Formats: sequence, C-alpha cells, structure tokens
Amino acid sequence: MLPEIGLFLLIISSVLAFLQVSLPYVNKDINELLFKKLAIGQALGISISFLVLVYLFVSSDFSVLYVAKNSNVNLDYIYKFCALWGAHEGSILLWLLLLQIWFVITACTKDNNQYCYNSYGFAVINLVLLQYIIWFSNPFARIFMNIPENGLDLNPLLQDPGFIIHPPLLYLGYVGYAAMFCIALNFKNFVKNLKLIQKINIISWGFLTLGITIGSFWAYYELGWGGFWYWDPVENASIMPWFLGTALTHNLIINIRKNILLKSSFLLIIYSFALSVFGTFLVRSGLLNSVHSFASDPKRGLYLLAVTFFIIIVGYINFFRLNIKTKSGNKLNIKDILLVINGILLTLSASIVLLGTLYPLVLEVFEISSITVGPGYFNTVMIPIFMPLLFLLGISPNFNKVLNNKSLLIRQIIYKFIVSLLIACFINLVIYEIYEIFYISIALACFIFIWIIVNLFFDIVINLYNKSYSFLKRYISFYIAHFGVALMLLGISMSSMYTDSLDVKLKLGDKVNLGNYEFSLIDLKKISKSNYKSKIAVINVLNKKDNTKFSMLPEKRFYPNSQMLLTEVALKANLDKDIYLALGDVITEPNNSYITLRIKIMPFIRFLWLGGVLIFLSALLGFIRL
Amino acid sequence: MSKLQTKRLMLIFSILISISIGISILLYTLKQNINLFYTPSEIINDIELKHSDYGLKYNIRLGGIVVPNSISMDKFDKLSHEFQVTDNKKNIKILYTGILPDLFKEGKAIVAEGKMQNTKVFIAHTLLAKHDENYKPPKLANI
Repeated sequence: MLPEIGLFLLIISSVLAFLQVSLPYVNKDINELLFKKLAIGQALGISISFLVLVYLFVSSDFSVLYVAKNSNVNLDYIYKFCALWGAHEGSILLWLLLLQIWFVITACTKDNNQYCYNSYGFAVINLVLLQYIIWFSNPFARIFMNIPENGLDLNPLLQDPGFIIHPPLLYLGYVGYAAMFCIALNFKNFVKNLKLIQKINIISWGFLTLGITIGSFWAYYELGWGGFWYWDPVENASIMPWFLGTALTHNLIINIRKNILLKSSFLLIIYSFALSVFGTFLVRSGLLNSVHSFASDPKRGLYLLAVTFFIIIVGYINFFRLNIKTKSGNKLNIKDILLVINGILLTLSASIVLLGTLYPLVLEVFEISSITVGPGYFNTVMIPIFMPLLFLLGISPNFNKVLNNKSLLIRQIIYKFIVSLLIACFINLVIYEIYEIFYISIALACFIFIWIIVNLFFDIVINLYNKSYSFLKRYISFYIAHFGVALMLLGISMSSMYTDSLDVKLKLGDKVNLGNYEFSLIDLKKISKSNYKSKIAVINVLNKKDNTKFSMLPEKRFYPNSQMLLTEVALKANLDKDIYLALGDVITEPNNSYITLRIKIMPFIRFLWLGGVLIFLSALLGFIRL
Repeated sequence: MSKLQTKRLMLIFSILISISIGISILLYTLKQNINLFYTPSEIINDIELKHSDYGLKYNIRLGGIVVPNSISMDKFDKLSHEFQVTDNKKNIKILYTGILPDLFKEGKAIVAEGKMQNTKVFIAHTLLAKHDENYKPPKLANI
C-alpha cells in the first residue's frame, strides 16, 4: 500500500503544479496567498513521497522493483538509506526534493507584490519533472510475481562514505541553477531579483564545487586507478555548469555594482541549467557510455533531451522580452574588463568540453563511426586556455582598489612580476634537483602559482599595513577562493607530471623499490564480513631516507550478492605526497602464493582537494555575508 | 571606402581569421585524440578486405567478449596476460601487460585500447573497466 501512496502523492503534487501553472491564464490577478499554499502543497507532497521511499529502503521492502534492484538485507542501515540515490529513479526524486527548498523559500519571500511571479517558474519545472518521474522513471513500481527475498545489491563501489555525501552535494549545486533559471523566468523583475540570484548562485556554486571535489577524491581512492579526473561524460556534465557558474559568479559582481552586462548573466543562467539537464540526458540515453552509467533507457533520454530544448527555448523567449534600460555613464573599468575576459574564457572552456563530449554522439547519429574522445584532447586544449585565465586571476588583486596613480600601479605589477619570476626560477631548480626531469608545463605552472601567491600576499600585507581591515574583511572570500585555486593548480600539475608508478608481481617475502621507499610483502590474510569476503596483503614500507617503517593493507573484496570484485586501495597520505597501493590478483595457493600490485607515489595531490574545500568555504562565507 | 570602414573591415577579418585558426586547432587536436571502436570481425575485415592499415598505425578500441578458458599468464613472472576476445564471428588474441581490472571476467565484455600487431594479435596498453558488470559496448549488445 505504501508505495502506491508515494506515487499518489507525486500525482497530487503534479496536479497542484498544473493548477499553479495554469491559474494565471484563467484569472489575471494572481492571488499571492493561494500561490504560496500551492507551493507548500507541492513541496509537502514531494517530501512525504520521498520519506515514503526512504522508509521502503530502510525497511527493505523488496516488492518495490527499485528497492529490490539497489538494496540488500545485509547492508548497513546508512547504506540502506543512501541506496535510495544509488540509481536513476531515486536520484531524480532527490533532485526534485532539493529543488523544493528553493521553491518554498522563494514562494514565502514577501518583499514585493510582484515576487510571487518568482515561484511561477518553479511550478513549471516541477510539472515537467513530475511527469518525467511518474511516466518514465517511477521509483515506486512494484514487482507482482516472485518477490525476491534478499534483493540484489547496492553496487559495491557505492558502499563507501563518498557515496553518502557526493550525490546530495552535487544535486544541491544543480538545483541552485534550476532555481536561478526559475527566478530569471520572471524577466520583468530580473534587475530587482539580482540580489536573490546572487545569493542562490554563490551557495549553489559552492556546493557544486564541493560535490565535484569530493567526487574526484572518491574516484581517486575507490576505483583503484589512482587518477582524479577521467573526462568521462558525467564528469563533463558537472564541469560545464561549473565553468558557466564560475563565470556567472564573477559576472554578477559587475551586474550588481553597475547594472550592466545583465543579458550575459541571463544567458549564463539558461545555459548552466540546460547543460546540467543535458548531462543527465547524455548518460540516460545510452548513447554515450560512462563509468557512471546505470541501466539506460532511450525513452528517458528522449524526454530529457526534450526538456533541455524546452529550457533553452523558454529561456530565449524570455531573454528576448528582457528589456533593460542601462543607465548611461556606467562604463567598464579595467577590473570589469578582466572579469569579462574571465567570463569569456570560462564560457569557451565549457564549449570545448561540450564539443568533446558531443563529438562521438554526432558521429554515432550520422552512423559515420563509433568513437570516443580521449583525455588527450581535453588536456591539450584546456591548458592553453587556463594558463592565461590563471595569470589574470593572479593579477586581479591589484585592481580591487581604484588607484588614481596609474604609473605607480604599473610599476608595482612589474615588481611583483620580477619577484615571482625569480622565486619561480629558484623553485624550478629545486624541483629539478629532486626529480631530475624538467617540464616546460611545470615551469609555467610553477610561475603562475607563485604569481598568484605573491600578488595575494602583497595585497594582504599592504592592507594590513594600512590598517584597512574592513577592506580585508570585505574581500575575504576573494582571497580564500583564489588561494584555493592556486593550491589546486599546484596539486594538479605536480601530481600529473611527477607521479612514480609501478606494476609488480610479489611473492611472500619479496621486496621492491620505488622512489625512496622499499615495499615488502609480509603476509596474506583472509577475512569474512557480513556482505563480503576480503583478501588482505600486509605490506611493510620502509622509508630509506629516515629509516621509518610502517605497514599498509591493500584489500581485494568479493561481494557474493552481486558477484563483484572490488579493489580497496591502501593510502598513506602526507601533505607532500601520497603513497597509493592497489591490489590486482591475489593468488593464495599453498606453494604458489603471490599478488600483483600497483604502487604509486603522487606528490602534492592532497592540495587539489584542499583547494576545492577552500573554494567551498569561500562560497559559504560569501553566502553568509551577502 | 573611408578610413573607419577600412578599420572595421580589418577588425572583422582579423576576428574571423583568429576564430578559424582556433577552430582548426581544436578540430585537429580532437582528431588526434579520438579512438575508433571496432569489434574483432570489423577490424579483421578492415585489414584483410579493405587493406586499411588504420588499426595497425593508430590507437583503436577493440571490444569483445572474453573467451572462456583462453586466459593465460606469462611464465616469466612478469605481468603479461594473454586472452582471446570474440564477437561470435571472429576471435582476436589480446596481449596486455599490467594489472587486470576488477570487472575482467571470462564471458564478460571488455574494451581494450591499443594497436593491432597483425590480423590476429592486438597489443593493448589499457583495459577499460566499467562500473557496471553487465555493461556491454553498444555494438555487442546483441551477443
């Protein structure tokens, strides 16, 4: 009975959404109170329906197809709960639930009579997505014959803390873009709504950043491959809205201060939302294959493609009706021009990722050939765009204050440039001393890293010296976020160029050297847990520099429910380097026991995620202070 | 033409030229980094009947089902693996050195990246594992 109630509540919400969408056409005067009630009604319906699904998962009701496919009686309670977003149907429902937060907040904000138009867009999106859930992706569908006793399993890769937080964070980010789109549909009040949009934008952008960062960390330790980014279609689907969102975050600064360049913000809002839906389409359609693909369904793909076009068309209709009177005399100064260039470069990045993601699809549709685009394309094209972008990021602190003395400013910049160049040369020598290989890309990345740091440092020191604390306080998000970007640059460039890697076969007692470390296989253990069996290799690691010893325990797990093998890597994390051990085969025959092992030593990789977390913190601070 | 017109014309031309240079660099890089996907019978046909040497010269992706009982490990204590993949029409032997992915199993689909050595042997530098054990490349979906 419960699953039917869940579905029924969704249907009721969709009726309410339909009422809200159609009412203004019947009765010209919108009744604000009624609108508010309808909004709360939809939000309640969706929330309770979500809770029903939670209950079905926690109580392991395997008569529901979606639960039976993605859960198992032996799972821990926390994973029984999280299994809800383990596949497509539940993910979409979670997405819709999170959107209701912004819906209710917008509908209940009562600053101005016109504001209830803000919630109109939400009802449209609710209606569109509820139809999708009810007709194509119903999580409450039943099994009537042969109800399974134990359920299949949650994919073992997902039985990990990363899975508990990564999807909700990412969706919190995505729904923010949806919310901004809905509010932007109220184009008549676009200027009035800018503050609200900025507020939603900054926190959603923060969540999206954190979601992507945690996702990349999770992939790093869970997939047994030792990388943090694959340029996989689903990853691309998250990075494209992120690029546009970053451009939007910067563009809104000009919008609010000077009331110009509003149209570009409007377009960025349309496309960041459209691209996030389009990303979901790419994976669901089954046309592109991704490491994230759940079972795909062409019907879902088609519907989501239609939704994408719907978003773009509706967005453009409102875009052309957007009528903004810009005050004359608001001209761009150098800071604004830098922000515009930043926006252009980020939009360009998003388009390049889109091209690389779509290219195989286009060839497939015209049946020319079946191809995939390798990471080489993205890396080669992105680096020449990102280096100037980051150089501009470095120079930006100089223009935070309006300086009248231009020659002084130019002199300061030249001094900083020379100082960073000298420090970068010195550091490059040190790097060469340690690794004995020299890369031009590293030299460049190193210079830009120092350049960003030097500029930030000088700016902070000068402001401290001048006792302009209020200025520092106002720009604190600016400093933290840009410092975070510098750390990411450090992590990405060092780990991708100077990683030591080795695949070996080790018998008991064998030793192998990599870098300053000696790895020896001491023992092989077997253990049994409630839902998996595990083989563990005990590996002693000797640091030859200071003769310290520690042991690491990489694991190979077997999950009998889903008949799946899983590599559980062992990590020894330091700030300056990670030691990474991933087991391949583990053979434990009496006279022939050996393992195959992948050893990686990755310098500075922690800084990548540290940077991501800093960017999130800056967004959080920005949100609180806005 | 007035001076202003000439100036504008030059500006438009230079923008057009830089855009087209940008796009050609982009497409060139794209072309360098695409991997064509083949099934065993397709690549053998390509080489034997069409006399194309694409698979011999460039990296391609080869997808097929791992033939049961065809996996053997090298005797010299290295990490070399040898196995056959099939699309139920033709078989190709794959040589691969490295650690096998978790989802590598007999009778399951695998995608290998590398080059053909001749019409019978494929040298793989990467084996791609998908999250989903039931994953099959679209071209092999019917097997």
